[in-house]
Amino acid sequence: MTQAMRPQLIGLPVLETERLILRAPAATDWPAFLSFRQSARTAFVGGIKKEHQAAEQFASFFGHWVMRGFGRLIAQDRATGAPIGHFGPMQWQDDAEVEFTWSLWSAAAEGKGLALEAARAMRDWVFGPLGLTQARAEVHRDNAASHAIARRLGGQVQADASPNWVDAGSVYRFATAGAA
Amino acid sequence: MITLGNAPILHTSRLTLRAPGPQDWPAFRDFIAHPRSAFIRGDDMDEGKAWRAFCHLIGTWVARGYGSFVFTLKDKDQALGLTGPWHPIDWPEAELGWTVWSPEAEGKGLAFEAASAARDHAFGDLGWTTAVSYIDPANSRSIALAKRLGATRDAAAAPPPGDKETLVFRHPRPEVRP
Repeated sequence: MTQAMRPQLIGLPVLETERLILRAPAATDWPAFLSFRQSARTAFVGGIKKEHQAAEQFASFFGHWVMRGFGRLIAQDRATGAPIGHFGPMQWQDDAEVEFTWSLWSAAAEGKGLALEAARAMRDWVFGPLGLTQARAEVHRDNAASHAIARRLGGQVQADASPNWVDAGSVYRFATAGAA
Repeated sequence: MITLGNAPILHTSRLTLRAPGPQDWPAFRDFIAHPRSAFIRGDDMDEGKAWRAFCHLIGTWVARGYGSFVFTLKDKDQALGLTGPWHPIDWPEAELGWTVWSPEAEGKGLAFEAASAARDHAFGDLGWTTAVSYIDPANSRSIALAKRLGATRDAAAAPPPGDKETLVFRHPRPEVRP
């Protein structure tokens, strides 16, 4: 089957930052995602998964886009073309709030402010072109780097809220400037 | 709006087979919540897991480059069931699967008609050289359909991982079909 005729998502956004391109996931991101999903870097986001669990999660990313009209973006390094992590609004249940998520897939991408650069672009897209007005995020108690991103995105800790999928940690709330 | 593009559409005398989309979620949800899905769903299934499973159904079209089809009547775009290629990464080989979501779709040969088209697509367009169907031994209707499609038990073939007893039916290549 030629690449041009391969089933693919249509209508996807592309976000550009100084150093990154944020685009929807592609089948070619699978090896990098699997490597992340089987690394110790997943300690704060559900832990190491078996290959078939990672594959289901990866495939679900595409389905989420079709079902919701939004989903996880893959941040790609402009210089190298390599995917460095996923960033995106997710809503796994009809009655759930939209959730900001972010993960850098490898240690090599850390320490350069790339996660914040990508997360800001994601937030601005969600609250801008996508038209949503609020979101939440869950951050593990011990995930200091992620707490820093949540704060710098303008997140406020909701003191009376408990996380759903993080076993211990904080719930942050985000809203557009005009929203309550 | 985000859509799945380049997914083939198959036609039979009575049916249209197309990739699943958001409009099919209520029918899938109702099927998973109904006892008639007992043979194919996990024991811990709930609506949240069903939604993710539905995302997986759609997403595999992009991740694998092929996937399973919803089948509908030609003149009514209402999902009656699902059939087609299915190959989770930890399964020993690729499957030709089928589920009939609605009791109204039973007893008319529609699942046979849909699965026949999906099988021909797998052996034809996708170039498969073999295909199996994994079936719960208690699912007599599904076993009957496998046999009607010309598939036969392959006792030597490995079942998919898991504790459930599973029969493996193997589909004949088109050139050796009667």
